[in-house]
Amino acid sequence: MSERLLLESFREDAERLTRLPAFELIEAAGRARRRRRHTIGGVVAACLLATTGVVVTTTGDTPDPRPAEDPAPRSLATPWPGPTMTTMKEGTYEFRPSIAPGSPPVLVTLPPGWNAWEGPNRFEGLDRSVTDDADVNEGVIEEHPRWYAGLLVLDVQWVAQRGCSFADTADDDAAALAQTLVRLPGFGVDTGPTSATVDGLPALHLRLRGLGTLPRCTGGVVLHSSHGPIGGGEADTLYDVWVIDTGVSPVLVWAEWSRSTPQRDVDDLLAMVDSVEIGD
Amino acid sequence: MDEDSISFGRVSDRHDGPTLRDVFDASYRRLVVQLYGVTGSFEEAEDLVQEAFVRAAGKRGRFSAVDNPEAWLRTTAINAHRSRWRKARNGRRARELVPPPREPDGLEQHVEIMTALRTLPEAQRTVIALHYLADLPVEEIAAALGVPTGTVKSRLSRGRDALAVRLDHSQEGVDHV
Repeated sequence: MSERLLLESFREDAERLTRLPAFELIEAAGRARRRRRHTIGGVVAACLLATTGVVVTTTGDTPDPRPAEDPAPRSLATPWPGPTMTTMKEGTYEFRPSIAPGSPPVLVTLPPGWNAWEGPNRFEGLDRSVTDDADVNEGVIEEHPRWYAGLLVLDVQWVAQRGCSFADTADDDAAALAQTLVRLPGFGVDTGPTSATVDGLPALHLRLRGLGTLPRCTGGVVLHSSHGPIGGGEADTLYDVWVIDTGVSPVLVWAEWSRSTPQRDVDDLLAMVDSVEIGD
Repeated sequence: MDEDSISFGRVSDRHDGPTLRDVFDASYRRLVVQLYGVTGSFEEAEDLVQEAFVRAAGKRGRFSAVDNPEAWLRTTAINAHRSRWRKARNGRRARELVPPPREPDGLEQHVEIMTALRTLPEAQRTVIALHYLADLPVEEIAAALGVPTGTVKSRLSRGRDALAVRLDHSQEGVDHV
């Protein structure tokens, strides 16, 4: 019997023998997951209200910034702290790639041992234990580590182009942004753009390679995001790039690692990419 | 209407499309078998598919806008498996001590094909499972995995050849007994 017939026969029997679990349990677990997310939103909203409250108080109104009813301990995600240069706890973090209204948050699950920069990163010599002393990790990176891996979640405003110019991509859709990335100076395209799906949303995937030939006139900047300029393009650096069509502005997931990065850390990095969820 | 109830329509009694329950009833078994092919473990397949449904239930409104719910669930489950697999690869020594997964009761007659499938490299096995068990064309497999269609074609071709060889060997073994 051919492998096709064997597989079809297996499929038929296996489907017949698979038992359906109680849908109610799955529904309840989904509800619990959603509640935890809403709690996160509540915490963020409370922080924003608290900040606004200071301003309002000075003008004489009475703010009422109520704390969230069910604070952080049960939360799945913690707001990403930004470039604190401290080693983060394992867990799910919420990124805000764009400050534009309606832009969705992005959730990423970190394994242990990743440092907080614009996104999570790791480099040779970094300890996996959680730190709150930025000097420790600053000291490690100043030792010129031989390998580096990092993940960024961005909205892209400008992209470096040949001829010492930057293309304005602020209003680009996912397809246009992917095409602009293909023309990045100092980068080679290994594969893509390929149609893909990230968290159920349409996306484009590219594999890029740094050539170490980014023109000096760009000042080492590859692209500008809402959070500032992003460098890259060093020789022997690989990039796994996803442009996700969120229906608002595209979100760029930019994972990079040097060739000498240990496999375990590359795997952790790609697992973070796989964990990406686009929030509501 | 309960704030937490699951509905793909705006109101629970006005269905614009299938409810999550409908998708669950129609797709759960299919997805488990597809993921069984991908992972080689029935228990892991059940776990991954249930986790994908939990994520869908957690999304509510967002999931209702998905064009192809089964494809969304499949990709979510495969991504979760990929992450687990990477971790498992790092702990390969520990994994070698774990006995191979057992077929569920009633599938004993399919041991041969499942054993052959499990011997394939992960990437080939995934493509074979998606092509033969999920009936996906090359383009959809490429989109689900985020790889070029040429890569899918070559994995499919190599996987098919390897599967045929393993099945032949297995048949020879049986004949000689």
